[in-house]
Amino acid sequence: MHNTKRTTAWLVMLLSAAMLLTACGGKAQTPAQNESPAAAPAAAQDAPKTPKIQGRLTWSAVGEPVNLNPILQSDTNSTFVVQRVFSGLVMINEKLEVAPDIATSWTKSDDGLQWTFKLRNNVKFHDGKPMTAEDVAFTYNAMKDKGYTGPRSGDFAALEKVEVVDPYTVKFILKQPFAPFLANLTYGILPKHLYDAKPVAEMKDNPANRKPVGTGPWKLGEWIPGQYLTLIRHDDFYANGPYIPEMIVKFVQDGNVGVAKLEAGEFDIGAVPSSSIKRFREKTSDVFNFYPYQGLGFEYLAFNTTKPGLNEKAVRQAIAYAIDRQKVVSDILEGEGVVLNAPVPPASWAYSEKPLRYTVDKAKAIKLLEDAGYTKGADGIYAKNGQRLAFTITTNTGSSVRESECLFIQKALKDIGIDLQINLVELATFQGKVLPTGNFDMTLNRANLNVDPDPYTYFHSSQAQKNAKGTFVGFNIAQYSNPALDKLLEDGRKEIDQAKRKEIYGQYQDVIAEDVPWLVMFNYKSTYAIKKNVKGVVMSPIGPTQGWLWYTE
Amino acid sequence: MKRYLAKRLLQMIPVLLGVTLIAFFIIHLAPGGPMTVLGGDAALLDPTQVERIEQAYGLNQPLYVQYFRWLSHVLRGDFGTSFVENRPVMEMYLERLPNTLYLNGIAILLVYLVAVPLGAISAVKQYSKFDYTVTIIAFAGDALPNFLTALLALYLIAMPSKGAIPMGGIASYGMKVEQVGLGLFLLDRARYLILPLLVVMCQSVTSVTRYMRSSMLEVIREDYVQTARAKGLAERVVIYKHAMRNALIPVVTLAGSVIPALFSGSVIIEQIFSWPGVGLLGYRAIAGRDYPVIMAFLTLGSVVTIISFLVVDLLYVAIDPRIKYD
Repeated sequence: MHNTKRTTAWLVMLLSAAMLLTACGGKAQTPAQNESPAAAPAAAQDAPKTPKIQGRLTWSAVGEPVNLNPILQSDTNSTFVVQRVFSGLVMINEKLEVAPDIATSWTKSDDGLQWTFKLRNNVKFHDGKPMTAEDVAFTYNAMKDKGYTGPRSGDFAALEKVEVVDPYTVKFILKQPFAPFLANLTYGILPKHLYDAKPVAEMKDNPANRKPVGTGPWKLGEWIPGQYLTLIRHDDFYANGPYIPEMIVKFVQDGNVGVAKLEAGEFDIGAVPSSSIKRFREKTSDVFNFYPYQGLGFEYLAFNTTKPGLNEKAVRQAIAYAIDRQKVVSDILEGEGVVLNAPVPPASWAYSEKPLRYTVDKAKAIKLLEDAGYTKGADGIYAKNGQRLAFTITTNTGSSVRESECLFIQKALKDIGIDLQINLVELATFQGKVLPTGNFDMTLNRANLNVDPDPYTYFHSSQAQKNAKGTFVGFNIAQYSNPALDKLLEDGRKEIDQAKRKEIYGQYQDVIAEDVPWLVMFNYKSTYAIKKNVKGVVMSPIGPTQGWLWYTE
Repeated sequence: MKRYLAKRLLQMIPVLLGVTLIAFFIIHLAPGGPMTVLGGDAALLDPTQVERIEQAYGLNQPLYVQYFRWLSHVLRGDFGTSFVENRPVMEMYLERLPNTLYLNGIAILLVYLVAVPLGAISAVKQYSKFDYTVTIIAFAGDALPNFLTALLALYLIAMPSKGAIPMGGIASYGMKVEQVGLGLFLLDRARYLILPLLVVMCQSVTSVTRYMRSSMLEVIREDYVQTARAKGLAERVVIYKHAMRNALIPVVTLAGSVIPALFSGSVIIEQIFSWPGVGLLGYRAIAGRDYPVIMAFLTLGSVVTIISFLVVDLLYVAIDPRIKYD
């Protein structure tokens, strides 16, 4: 009994907030950075020798997992559960380094084409069957199968095949050296015995996708659709722990309600959005410890570098000098962000401090425009050869931060004689029709850098080519083309030595900051609230991790 | 009467075909696609991968082929498999339907129990203090959008209650009949029911009350009511036997729009209170472009709507002897 007409608009507004949270999850991991709050770092030293196995931890999820098969799912909620139910060959530790998980050690051939992994011999699936190299090979070969329907095959384009050497040794053979390869080996290992009866093309219909059997610290208890799922301790987990025998993941449908419930103490752990962090801290600091982090997510303003006007570096730089990003952070984000010079946040090992920093300087911006041959028209707008600097910024509805940013940028550009119109579109349209086609002058969007910082898909000129459907084959939405940068990005993928790669990516950041195909606005900061009785918490810049080390008092 | 019924039932066929056809084409025309969910960051997928997924889900065929394939399955009672969850759509729908029926069934029952007498009394005592109070509250309740009532209820009732009245969900974790006994189980359920019920009623009671009031006002001015009074019948008999029964006729019409809501749920309420019902399923399917689930949601919704309007038309015959279908 509801009034459809009246509610529709509000529906969109309320629900898009929830959607945005999910959508921003992007590569499925939440950004985080251990800023060492008072309670966190001590965990390692203070921890009693063996914590008691006790307690229960209640988590919340905005939405609900859809598929618990590690190589078929890609949404935030499924990833959350999969990471706790499955173990991978390697894992990403709290310093964002590749660390052993099921594999204890690995060696690579000198040409970087053959990687050999030694596996633990005490790993058991939740159904009691031992995990061997066969399961590893099955999992990765499935992603190379012609019938594979999941989203991961792009990650393994360089992989030729996976071979079983002996039950506890597995060899990966690559087509060409590919540096990001190792950090991609985190996907949960599937139990071959539950999946190999049918072709990979039918894997999506396997009932085990909703009743997963993994090797991780917890196994799935029950899953009540629309309400909650439980995770129960896996007694045969290969390492010590987990010390928390039961975890509940409750599904909420609205992000704001989720925060209210966290505040009311219904959950033991949750991310607090920047908009409510101050009030939240004041009201609940006796119940929660706070773990702020500055992760791999950042906001950027992308220019269509094929658009007359915006194809000139001087105009893009003038815009960069006109926008007071520090003010955006302090006024719109209430300080919950950090201005960033290039598309690599400090949490990444590839971060460089060197790139050019644009501080607000409107006189300099105007001088850049005038030096580039622009003259101010009667309407106050700069123009050259009859071409006015008048653009449209297109972004999605449903984010008050983003909408405020648009207004802020509009005002800033007006001050230097550039006209800007704002065009807000629904999120699905924005992601489906605007970004992949480059159908915009400027756009505001969020990116999450992967653990491996390879930016090839964002800026290599080949990634701006379009397929038969008129969408980019990659994500070079600025349609930026720079042969020198192309070379850097190609080298960065091939170079296996991390120190040399860091140098290459330092140069890449200099180029992007100087040429501004994207003006990076800020690095998001966020905060996790965790109940005070939860100890041994391990946080990484991509969120809470290694839960089997946590315990409760 | 039989001929009328047969005619109405036959008319349903083209209506349903039209509804499903239009719905099918519109949702496929909407930007985005299941690819965004299946493929993660769709733009980062390599094109051969996109083709492979499209082939696996039959999305590479012409739209009309997809429609007729869908239709032929539905005629055999098969609504297909969700793209996102890869399990039968009917299974997903049926596991949530009881929750929606439970909330909306109780809500509708209570709405009529409260609204009909309120409206009737309000009309009989027109311009009294009671009437003014009811009318003002009714207008206010109708004017308040239910997302706002819901949020107000959360902040003014649930949060100060310190957990006595939960903010959302349908039951506490671990509350199972076999473990805690029926009494505790029902008590727990009731706690979770309070807020959603309150919000649904806040909106619906007001509109039914106003319908009832105006219908009643019309009826008590009719000649036959005057006649009944002139006959010397007691005022109570006049009102409750002669006037009220006739005043109920337009209120019955409302049921035509109320019954479908029983089955399709209320998206706002289910969203805010995390109520695991059908409306939320439909909404999530739309957001995720899960075509088979959207189509099942729309088709079943249309079927229920069409049937309930038929039922309402038939009810007229039962309650109003002036109406006959030949």
